[in-house]
Amino acid sequence: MTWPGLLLRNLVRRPGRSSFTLLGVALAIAGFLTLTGVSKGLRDASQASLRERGIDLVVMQRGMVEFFSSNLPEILADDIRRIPGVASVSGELGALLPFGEDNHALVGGWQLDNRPFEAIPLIRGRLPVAGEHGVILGQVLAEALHADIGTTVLLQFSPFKVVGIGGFTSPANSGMAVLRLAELQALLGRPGRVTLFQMQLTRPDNIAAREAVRAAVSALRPDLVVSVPDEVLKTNRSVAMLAASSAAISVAALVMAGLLILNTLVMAVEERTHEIGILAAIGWSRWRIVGLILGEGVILAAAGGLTGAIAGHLGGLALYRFVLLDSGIAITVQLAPAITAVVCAVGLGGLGAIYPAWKASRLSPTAALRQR
Amino acid sequence: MMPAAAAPALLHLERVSRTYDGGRIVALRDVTLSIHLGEFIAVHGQSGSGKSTLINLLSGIEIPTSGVVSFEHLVSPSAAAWTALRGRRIGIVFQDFNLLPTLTAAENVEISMFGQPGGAAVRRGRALALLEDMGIAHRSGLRPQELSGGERRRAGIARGLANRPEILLADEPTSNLDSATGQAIIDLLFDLHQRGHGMTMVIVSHDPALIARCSRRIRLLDGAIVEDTSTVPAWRPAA
Ligand SMILES: Nc1ncnc2c1ncn2[C@@H]1O[C@H](COP(=O)(O)OP(=O)(O)OP(=O)(O)O)[C@@H](O)[C@H]1O
Ligand SMILES: [Mg+2]
Repeated sequence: MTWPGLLLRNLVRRPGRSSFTLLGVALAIAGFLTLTGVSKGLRDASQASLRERGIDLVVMQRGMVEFFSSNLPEILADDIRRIPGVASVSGELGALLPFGEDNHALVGGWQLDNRPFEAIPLIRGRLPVAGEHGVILGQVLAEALHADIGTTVLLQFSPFKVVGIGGFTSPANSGMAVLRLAELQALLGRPGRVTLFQMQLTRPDNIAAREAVRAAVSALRPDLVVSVPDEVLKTNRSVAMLAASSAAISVAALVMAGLLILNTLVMAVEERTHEIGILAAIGWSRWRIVGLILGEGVILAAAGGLTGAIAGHLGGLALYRFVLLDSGIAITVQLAPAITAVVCAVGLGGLGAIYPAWKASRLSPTAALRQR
Repeated sequence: MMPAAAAPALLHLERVSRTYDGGRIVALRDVTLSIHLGEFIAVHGQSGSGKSTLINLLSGIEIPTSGVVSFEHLVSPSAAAWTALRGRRIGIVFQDFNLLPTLTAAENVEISMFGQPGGAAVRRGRALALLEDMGIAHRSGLRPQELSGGERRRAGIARGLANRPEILLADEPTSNLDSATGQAIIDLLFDLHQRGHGMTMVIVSHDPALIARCSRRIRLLDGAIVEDTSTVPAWRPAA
């Protein structure tokens, strides 16, 4: 019997206790990863979606708690377009709307006629023309609604005909629907209003030029905020709150994992006092006994951590597929936080084992042997 | 006062008492005793006379309430020093087996060899050889709860011998055994005692045949030594 063999035997031959601890650790780690995935997904979502659209700057109303409550006049585009360094400006009205009876999706009203960069990659079909009540569905949305070209979908309880299937790949874009701006404005009763302006610059890579445009746009009205794609969601309060709370819960999940391991090991030591007495009586040094308990804790934590990392990944996929699809937020469980979580679990497992190991090593052999 | 012996005793108890319950139970009363290399000692006496307490004090798993226990030149060894001694030089056979329930008979013997030279294969080989000597090689893969009392007893003896100790402290090693098996175990212990450097033996027993065969007999009554057939005077540590 090797040393690792001894550790494994001790765990495997107490299957109930070991598997419950492993499950508990796995759940905590999975929770941690899913939640960090949510905050990461939030950050990635806007960035990926705006990048894919080829956008350099986004103009919104400043200080809005809720993304879609930004409300700007469409004609502001003319003022922005006059600023030197601006290549194009296009207004977008955004809303989270019901599809049919029980689906929701992000809907964008786009100025399809005056966008030089509008090139929506279409897999099938065409762009909607004025007056036809046509809609383009992102791939993932089309799949979720079981819709295709020619299907009529109920958007906010009004019929729209699917005329194109978009080929965007970012989660937000592929989960959204695009209408003509005027038709969405009419549907929402917000004629002449947009949520944001998407801008392209003549020299997108020149930071000084970009900052000059930003300053000029900001000077147009006191209530404007001009963001690069990465910042769009960061400036949004509700998203920041969601990100902060998921970060807090994910840390709590990780601490829970550590406490679980601690609890199991403390219990293991209590119920194995007699056994530890035997080991001490046959000449096991304090350090070897500590090593045994630490080793078992670390193995449990590592196994639980790995199981949790896999479960967290699958959980993230499921959460995206079944819950967050319409929000355009992908849960991106990534390798780096997964490794961090497993390392943390193992570290906490080790820390968690120190107390019971220390306790065990202080027992006198006969005192321990007397306990059954 | 006895004259000092030339060499220090292997183990020495100087006016050792062990009480429990705040002094209300006296398990061992003012015992002075030297054990020398190569002795074969039987400890006997009625139940509750303090035999187990005495043998536990000799291995350091029990600490005296008063008096001094020394191992060679080590006077009142620390807990860690006692542990090291039990790991290398002192073998213990417990009255109530004390086998680990999650491990098989062979694994129970192997665990006492962690920390000794040799890898897993060496430990395995030695454990199986010892179980063979005890006549339970065919039971080596079973866990304690699957073994009979006599088989557990023999697994416990095998574990006590695993590290080739210089001294074996065995608490009733032949109880629970039928007379033939008991006799075989006794023969094996005498064989280990006579072979090579000779293992020093301290055996607690009720078995008159075994007691009669021992070169030195110590009888306890109510925690005190009432008979010791030793011919060697007790060793006194230098003042
Ligand atoms: N931990 C303890 N707490 C209280 N009393 C104890 C303890 N250990 C031993 N004793 C008492 O000390 C006395 C001696 O016990 P010990 O176990 O040494 O006897 P023994 O000679 O080995 O008996 P047996 O032949 O039954 O094994 C007994 O009266 C016992 O009840
Ligand atoms: Mg006894």
